[in-house]
Order: sequence, then C-alpha cells, then structure tokens
Amino acid sequence: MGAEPLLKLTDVKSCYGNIQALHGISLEVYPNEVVCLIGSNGAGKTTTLMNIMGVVRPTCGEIVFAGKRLNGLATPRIVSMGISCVPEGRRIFPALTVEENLQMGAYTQRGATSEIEETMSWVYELFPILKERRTQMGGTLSGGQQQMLAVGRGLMARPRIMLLDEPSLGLAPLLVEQVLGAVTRIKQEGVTVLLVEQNALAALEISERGYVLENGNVVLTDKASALIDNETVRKSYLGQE
Amino acid sequence: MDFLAEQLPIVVQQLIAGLAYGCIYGLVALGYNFIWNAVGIVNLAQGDFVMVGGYLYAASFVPVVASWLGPGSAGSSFWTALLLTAVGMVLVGMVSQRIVYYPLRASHPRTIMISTMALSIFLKNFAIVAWGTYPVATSGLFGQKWFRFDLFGLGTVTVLYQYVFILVFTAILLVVQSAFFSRTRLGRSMRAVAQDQLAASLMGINTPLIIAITFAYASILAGVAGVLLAPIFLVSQAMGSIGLKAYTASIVGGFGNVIGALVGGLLVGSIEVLSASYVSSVYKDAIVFVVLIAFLLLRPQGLFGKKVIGSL
Amino acid sequence: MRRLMMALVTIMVIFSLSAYGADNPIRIGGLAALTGGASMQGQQAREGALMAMEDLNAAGGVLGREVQVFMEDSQGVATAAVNAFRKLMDDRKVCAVIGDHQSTAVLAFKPIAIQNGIPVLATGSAMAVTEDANPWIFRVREYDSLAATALVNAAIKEGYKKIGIFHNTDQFGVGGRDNVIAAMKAVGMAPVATAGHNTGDKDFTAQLLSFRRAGADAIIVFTHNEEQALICRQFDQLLPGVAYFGSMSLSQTSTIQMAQGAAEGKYSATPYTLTNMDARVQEFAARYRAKYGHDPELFSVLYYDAVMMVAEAVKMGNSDAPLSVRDNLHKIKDFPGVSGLNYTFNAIGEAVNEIFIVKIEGGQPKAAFKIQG
Ligand SMILES: Nc1ncnc2c1ncn2[C@@H]1O[C@H](COP(=O)(O)OP(=O)(O)O)[C@@H](O)[C@H]1O
Ligand SMILES: [Mg+2]
Repeated sequence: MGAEPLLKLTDVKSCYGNIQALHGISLEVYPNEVVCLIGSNGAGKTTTLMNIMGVVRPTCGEIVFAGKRLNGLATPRIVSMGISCVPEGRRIFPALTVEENLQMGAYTQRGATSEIEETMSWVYELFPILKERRTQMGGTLSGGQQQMLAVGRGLMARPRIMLLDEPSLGLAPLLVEQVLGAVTRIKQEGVTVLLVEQNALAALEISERGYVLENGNVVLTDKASALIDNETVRKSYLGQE
Repeated sequence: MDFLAEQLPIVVQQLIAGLAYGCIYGLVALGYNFIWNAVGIVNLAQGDFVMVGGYLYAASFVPVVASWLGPGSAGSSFWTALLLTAVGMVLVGMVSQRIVYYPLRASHPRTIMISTMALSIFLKNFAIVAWGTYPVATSGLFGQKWFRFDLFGLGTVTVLYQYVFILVFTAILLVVQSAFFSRTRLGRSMRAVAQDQLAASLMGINTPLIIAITFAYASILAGVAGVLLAPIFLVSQAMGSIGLKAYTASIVGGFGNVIGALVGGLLVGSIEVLSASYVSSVYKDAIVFVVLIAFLLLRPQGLFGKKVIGSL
Repeated sequence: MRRLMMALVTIMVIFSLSAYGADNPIRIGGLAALTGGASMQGQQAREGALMAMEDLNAAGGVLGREVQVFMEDSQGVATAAVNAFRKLMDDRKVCAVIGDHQSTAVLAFKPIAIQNGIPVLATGSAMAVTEDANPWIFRVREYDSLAATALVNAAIKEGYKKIGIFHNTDQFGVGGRDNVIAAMKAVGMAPVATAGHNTGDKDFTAQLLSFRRAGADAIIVFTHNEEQALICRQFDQLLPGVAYFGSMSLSQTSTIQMAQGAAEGKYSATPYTLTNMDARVQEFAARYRAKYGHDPELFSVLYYDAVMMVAEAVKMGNSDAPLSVRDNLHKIKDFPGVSGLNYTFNAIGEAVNEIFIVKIEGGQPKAAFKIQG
C-alpha cells in the first residue's frame, strides 16, 4: 500500500433534488488495491460512483484523484485522467457490435491505434468469448457475455482505476466467479479497482479492504478478512453464512 | 391486357415521381428519427427546417453564389450553394437545439415538444420577415428539363430530370451516411449517444456536444430535402407541411428506425402519387393520413418493429 | 373604491374625447391575409391601402382631417377574419372596411357588417358576396362569373372546341368550375373533362394526363398563384399543343415569375394589367415601384382605389358616418382608378364590369382584348 491514496473522497454529500442520498462519505483507495463498497439496495453505492465520475455533482466535500481535485470537472475530462466506470446494469451499446463497443471504451485514447489494438487483444485474451463474438451486436449477447463486454469496454480506456458497479448482478454463480475472477487478473495488470457489490461475500473474498454503506453513510471500514468475520456484517450482508 | 399495356408507362412515370417524393420524406423522417433516438423527443420543427433549407438555398445562397461566379456557372453554383446551405443548416440546428432543447433537457419530453412547436411557429414567421411572402422559384441543376424514355415499346415515360436526380442523390447520401456512422469516430459516438446517453458519457463522450451535432445533422438532412425539392416545389412557408408526410413515413417505418424511415418514405410517396391517379387526386392527402391513423391504431411500432439504429 | 371608479371613468372619458376630438381622423379599416398561405396577396393589398393613405394625407387629408388606414390580419381564415373585423369595428371605429380578398372571409363577417351598418368594399370574387344585393356590401373586383365567361368566350374565339376544366377544390375553384360550366352551357357546350386539386399540391401529372386522355384541346384552370405556376410548369411537357386559359392569378407578375417561363403563350383574365398603357396605370406603377421596389399587382391597385373611393364618399357627404359613406358610395359615378378602370357601383354593388383577356408574352401579360360583363 503506497503512502498517497490514488482516490480519496472526503465528506462527500450529494442530493437528487430535495433528497439527500449521501450524507458525508469519506473513503480512500490506494494504488493497486481492490477495495469493495458493500451495502444494501439504496445505500448510496451507485451515487458514490456517479459522484466520482462527475455524472452527479457533490454538494459538498472533496474528491481527489492522483492529487487532482475532480469536483466540477466534466465526465470526459475525468475519464481521460484515468478513471473508468463499468456501470450498474452493464449498459453496453446494444446496436453496436462487440468490437465497436470496445472501441467506444477507448474513446479518450486519441490517436494511438496500435496501442488501442494492443489493449483490445489483451481484453480478448481476458475474455476469449468476446473475440468469437466480435462482429455480433452487443444486444444479442447473453447476460454474462454482456457483463464481460462491459468490463472489457471499461478496460479499453487503460484506466489507472476502474469502478465496477455490481458486476455480478443477475448472473448465474458460475458466471459470477468468472467475472470476479477477471477482477483479480485486472489487478495483476496493475489496475486499481473500486468494486461495488451486494454480493458481499464474493466481493470481500477478492478485496483487500472494504467499506460498508448504510443510508448514505460509511458505517464500517476494515480489512476485507476482518469484515467477513464481523458480526454485524455477517448478519446484515452475508445472510446465513 | 391492352389496358394494362397502355397504363404501364403512366404507372412507371407516376412511380418515379412517387419514389422521388418518397426519398424526400425519407430524408426528413431520418431527421425525426435521429433526434428521437438521441433525446426521445419528436422535433416538431423538422418540417420547417426543410423550408429554411429551401430558402437558404434558393433565396440566399444561389443568387449570391451565382453572382460570384458569373453567368454560365449553373453547375458549380448549385454545388457551392448546396454546401453553403448545409453549413447554414448546421448553424440552424445547433442554435435551435441550444435554445429549444438544451435548457429544457431535464424536463418532460412533452414540454420540450411544445418548445419545438414554438420553434416551428417562429421559423414560419421568421421566413416571412426574412424572405417575404412571395414563393421563390429556382431551377436547380436541371431547370424544368424532362427526361423521356421508351418503355418496352409500350409508350413514352416522361419524368423531370430532378426526380431522377433526387433518387440518385439520396442513394449516394445514404451510402455516405452509412459509412459515416460505421467508420468514423463521430458517427460511432452519435450512435452510442442515441443508444445510451449515460454509458456514452462514461466512455468520455461529450454527450451534449454529440446531441447538438445530431440536431445539426437532422437539420442538414431537412435542408438537403429543401434544396432537392426547391426546383419542383416553389420555396414558400407552405413547404414546412412536408413535415407531416415525413412524420407519417416515420410512423409507417417504425419510429426511430433508420431503414424504416426510408421504406416508410418511399411507401408514403408512392401511395400519395398513385392514389392521386387511381383513387382521387382531391383525397390523396387524406388517404396518406388514413394510412397514418391506421398504423397508429393497428401497428404503432411500424413495419420495422424495434429500434435498430445501429444497423445503418 | 369609489375614487378608483371615478378615476377609471375619467380616463375613459378622456380617451373617448380624444377619439372624437377636433383633430379626430377619418378611420378606414382594411382586411387581408397578412400571414398564412394567401399572405402574398395580403401584403400587396396592405401596400396598396397604405400608399393610398399616404397620398391622401400628403394632399392635406380629407375634410381637413387626417386619414388613418388600419390593416388587420384575416389570416385567410374565416374565424380570424371575423375577429379582425370586430376589432376594426369596435376598437378602431372605422367608417368602412375594405376586403377581404378571400370570399370565405367576406362571407363570414358579412352578416355582422350588415347588422352593425358598416359598409364593406369586398375584394373577394365569389358570386355569393353580392348576390343578395345588400346596400352595405360593395365589391371592388371582378366577380367569378365575369372571369369564367370571359375565359370561355376567349377560348371559343380562339377556335377551341374541346375544353377541360381544372380547378382548385376550395370555394373559389369550385365556384369557378361551376361558372365555367354555366358559361359553356349558355353557348351549348359542355366540358370534355373536369379535374380537381388541393391547395398546396405540387404534382399535377395525374390530372393533366386525364385531360390528354379526354382529348382536350384547351383547359381552363381556376386556382391560386402557387398552384397556377406549378401547373403551368408541368403542363407544357404533358399536354403539348393544348391551349391554356388560367384564372386571374396567372396574370399576376409573381405567378409569371414563379412559372419560370412556363407561363408563355398562356391566356388569363384580369381587370388589371401593367401592359395597359393608360397614363393612370403607368404613373401609379412607377410611384409604387419607387416606393416598394416591385411591381403593383391586382390587389395593390384595388385596395388603393377602394380607399380612395371611401375618401371620396366621405367628401361627398361631408361626413364619415358609416351610413353617409354607404349612401355616397352608391352615388359615385365613373371614379377613375389607378387600375385603369372607371368605377360605378351597380344595383348589387358591383364596380368592375369589364375584364381584359391577356396573353403572357415575354414574361408580360399583354392585353389581347377586353370583354364586357
Ligand atoms: N436518479 C435518482 N433520482 C432520485 N433519487 C435517486 C436517484 N438515484 C438514486 N436515488 C436515491 O438515492 C439513494 C441512493 O441510491 P443508489 O446510490 O442508487 O443506491 P445503491 O446503488 O446503493 O443501491 C436511494 O435512496 C435512491 O432512491
Ligand atoms: Mg446501485
């Protein structure tokens, strides 16, 4: 763990109209860590990610990435600084081919065609099924394949940190394993990961540290192994385990 | 049989005209569809963009360009004026979306549509102020030249060169458009924004800019339709009424569908012209709108069902 | 509360006094479609009427009073025309109303004019405008049957025997068709084919081909400017060798320009043509061109002349009371108009009883001969 956090949120508050969704989130992600953000539905996990991406604006607090303040920057700017986001529900482009979807992921990588091709072959290596299906429309893929495409698309930006929002949602257990397995391999390539999951156990198993969100507040943070053992976490998020 | 043989050249002649009008409706309908796909609204001023394009071309640019180039430069003045019209339409599209759509983008689509209706009224009146109430006649590349050919010895088919030109021009435009959407970064990002705005902006696409460009492109299509029509129609405020025919084409083809817009346009154009000949010239518009209502009631998704914008 | 009422009453009294004060102007209303599909004619009308107002005031006004012409927009729509008429009558307190140039609009406000006693100098050509011979209703334009009869007679005179009728499906066009049929019947003829089209239509191939199938050697076309121009453009290719007689709209410069040469050799009927060498016509046209930068058209001169006749009636009766204006209009004899016509209102209020048959040559409607009604 490096001394300086790569991404640091300090007391971030955020609202949708009159409804306050985040009541002061503080969290840190250090270089080459996998950190997970767990919490029940509506806790504010997606909102936290959207604040980082500049899609939703924080009303107060500070978001700093690699020493630079992100507050007020437009999304394209944030993406080109090295943050990419795999949104909740995959949101691949249904009427673009698999390859075109991946190309869209490299949208901010202006110019360097050879580098883009290199990244693409890495993504194909990571998810061979995408290579098989590369001329197929994104919308014709199965749920698991779409999730792989979404992750692959996120990687195409060659991010320093990747935000993953519930990548296992709606997937069969075997596919969950495959997708989360990819997260470990992404980390091995030197990409830092902030993973949002409701599937807390699986997420904690591949993470170094975790934050527990409740009603827009961070209620607990610790090493992942400690959270797995934690009484409250076991009760609230890990079910009968 | 004799009757058929006698009718055939006339039917062919009518059909060529119908298909030419159909291309025009198709181009305008494409504009409806691109805006619909990008932001989920029907731009009710799309028909008036046709009128503005016609005026820019016939009343503004053609005379100016012709006076630059001097006499005997009909061909080059056409292409230069067409280009200038396209540039003018980019401005029209960008500025109108900035005023009519952008400030309201978070509002209910109905609100935005009412604001496009206001734009439509504004453009009609602006045209009166800017270009007066006299319809403007223009001759295009071919003037009033007619093209004749013999149809298998059954009779002569007589059509305006302009009709043939419209068919060829539209076909080329569509090929270029298809390449633009699949081969270029801008084209792909326009498709991406149309499919998923949030995902597109997470890719780093400047979505407000792409939306503005989409409006500009829809506006170019309408402007080109105006330029193509100008030699056949007179350019006047009434030109805006083409919007309703194009809307019908969109519905018939399936709103939001690119191929649907064209097929819908060709169908509406042919139905219009053939029903004028063989049913009633007085009720031909009514017949087109009966088709519209029938589709709305019986097959609201149109001929081509779902959204497949990416397929072109 | 009472003080507020007093203040309001005072304001109203001051306003009404100023309206009928010593320098109270002669108020004349004008109705025309200033916007909408017929706005081209409406703008010509407006220009003519306003020029008349300026000419009158430049000559010291009428009865030493300023003349004000209020033009209201009828939009070419009956309901809008009624509202505009009421505005002229109730708010502007005009002594007479000129227009509208669309008969549908005139027929819509005609009962209100009669009921309230406002003289109307209509410029719509439908027979129904004057057919009940009401003393409040005048017409300063040719009536449809005059134009229809003239066109039929001209066609016969030129030796055509198989005549087709192509008409707009609005009231004007259908009326024209019926008048043409009646005029033909009067000389023992019947049309070989009739066909209709709508305002706004652009493609007339189907109808024109039907005349070819019927073997017509001439067609009479009753429609408005835009359609007239487009029909001319398509006609030559589809019906070569057939003669073309267009209603008044074909004689207008704007239509001839829109037809882009296709109006050549075609006939039309109009009470007004710029090729009329009458000094009044030429002098007015020159002044009009200098002022507006384009030629006057029929409605420019008709609205001009109508304003002048109202002013004349005010002078004759030494009053701008509507009843006096009405009675004195009936007394006007051979009033010289800038149209080149001399106006005398007949028993049913018609002022135009002669019409020129013109042939378009070199982009100009050349007067071929004159036909009396
Ligand atoms: N677009 C929105 N408009 C209004 N409220 C929203 C919107 N998105 C989320 N919320 C609210 O904000 C809170 C946090 O939501 P979210 O961040 O999506 O939670 P999570 O991702 O943890 O399930 C919830 O109460 C939710 O109802
Ligand atoms: Mg969520």
